[in-house]
Amino acid sequence: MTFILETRQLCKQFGGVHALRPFDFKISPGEIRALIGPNGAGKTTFLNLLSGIYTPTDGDILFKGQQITKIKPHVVTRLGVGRTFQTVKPFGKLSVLENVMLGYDCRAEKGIFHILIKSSSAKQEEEETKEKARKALGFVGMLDKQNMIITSLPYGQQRLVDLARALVHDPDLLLLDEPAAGMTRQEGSDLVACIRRIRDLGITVLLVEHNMRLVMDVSDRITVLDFGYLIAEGIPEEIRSNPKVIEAYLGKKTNDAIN
Amino acid sequence: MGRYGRYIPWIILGCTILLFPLRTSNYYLQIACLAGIYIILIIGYDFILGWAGLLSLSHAAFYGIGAYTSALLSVNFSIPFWVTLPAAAIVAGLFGLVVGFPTLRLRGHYLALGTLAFGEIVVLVLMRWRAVTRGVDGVTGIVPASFGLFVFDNNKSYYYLLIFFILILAIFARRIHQSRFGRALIAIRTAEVTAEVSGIDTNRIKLLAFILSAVYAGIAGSLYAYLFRYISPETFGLHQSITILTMLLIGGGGSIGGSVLGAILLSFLPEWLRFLKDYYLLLYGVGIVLMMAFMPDGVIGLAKKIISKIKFRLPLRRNV
Repeated sequence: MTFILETRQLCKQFGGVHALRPFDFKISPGEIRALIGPNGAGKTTFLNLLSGIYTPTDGDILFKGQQITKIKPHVVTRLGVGRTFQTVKPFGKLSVLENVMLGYDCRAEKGIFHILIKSSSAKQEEEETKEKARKALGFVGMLDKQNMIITSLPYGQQRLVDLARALVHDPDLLLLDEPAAGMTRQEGSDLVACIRRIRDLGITVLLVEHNMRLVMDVSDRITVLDFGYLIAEGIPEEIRSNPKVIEAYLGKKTNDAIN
Repeated sequence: MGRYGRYIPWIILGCTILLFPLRTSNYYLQIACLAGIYIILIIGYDFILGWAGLLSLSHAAFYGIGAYTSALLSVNFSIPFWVTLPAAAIVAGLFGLVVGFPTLRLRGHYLALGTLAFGEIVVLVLMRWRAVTRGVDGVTGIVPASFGLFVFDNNKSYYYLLIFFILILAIFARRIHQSRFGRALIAIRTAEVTAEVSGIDTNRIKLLAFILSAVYAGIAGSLYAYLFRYISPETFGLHQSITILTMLLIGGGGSIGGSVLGAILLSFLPEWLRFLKDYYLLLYGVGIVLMMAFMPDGVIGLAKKIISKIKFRLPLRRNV
């Protein structure tokens, strides 16, 4: 009832492949939730379903109590879902600031005629967008790089810009797809602090991540998927000692080998 | 060079353009006028190819729709230029909407083929629907454009009229390029899914670019009709779309400077290479292949590269 995001029997099939088996998922507002599982477990599929890139084979997605099951990605974003990608695809010809501004453009209202006559309200809107983007860049600690061409930045910093882009339009739910991939250890621990600060803004965070140390460190609860099935859910301590999870990651312990 | 030193080349260029008609033959002036019309066409085409990164082969069709709208309104109903020109823009824009809506859902080669088909249909209709379009004979007797009592009935005055339109349309294009629409187009071209997830309605923005380019083509068509005061269908066929495409590729997509350079260069090149007679096309073809191979960003890309090397500044920064 008070869940910010809820899925009911959500599933996705690609031809004969069940990428995601019927999946019930709930996340409360203000939570940091990690979604983990071995490669091919269906994690990214799940995120793509949530952000509207894939249409589910069956089932429902409710965001703030509203059906978003068959809604286009840009509408989902406007409703308040931010999303970063596993492999950052920055808009290469744009500056860091413009990359972030793009995330706020969906909030703009002034149409093409305002831009043609350079109306004061269109100018004001552009300034507002810039201001918002600078704030978001400041939040992830990248404000000093605002005029750089994005592709000239190291990979870890490009991820932070991508994060700012996903944050700039004030989402209620943020989906992070492997945010720490390609980051150094230092950048990783900065990221943990950053994710906590995002939660302190009142934004619910759902992250897919392979870096277990980061996951255990940052998340309130963890959901584990394997081959499209939900195999466990709970607080980090429970997950760490859950035999099913250990089996999924390390393989089945055979008594024969011990004997 | 002082504080205003950087404006000197621009002032020289501006004066050259303004004084050009005073010391040139009428024939060259007509080519210059045609080049001016191409500039408008290419700036419009750049919205789709250079900015949105979509290959459309129907640009000449919108050019033709604009030309025929103006010409037929003028000849049949004696409607003045200042009404038929916006009418041409609107009709071309509406066709852009109707054609763009279904075809922009196609991707890559399929979009090229879909728009190619539309272009062919337009030319066929212009040739066969004799009752309205007057068929292959074309439309004659277009009343010259006039402003108050001043009549633009020679190439010299028309040249200045074109400069006026080019300036306005270039300024409009630049404003769009620098706005959130320009950002959105770059985003769509480089990473469409990321753009969509960032909240950009990619289909809508692509359609907008398509309509804009059709409107520019419609205006160019209208100006073409009033320049020659005679139009016929074969001007607006596939070869014209290919010419437009070549001009933009040679000039360099994604910039107004590239559009202008490409249009001027390829308008005058046939004249400069006239002494080659039949070998002209051979050289032209080889030249284009070489340019595409060694200057993928066109003349303007090469120029930018040279300038940034002279200034020892790496293009790492971009100020908004």
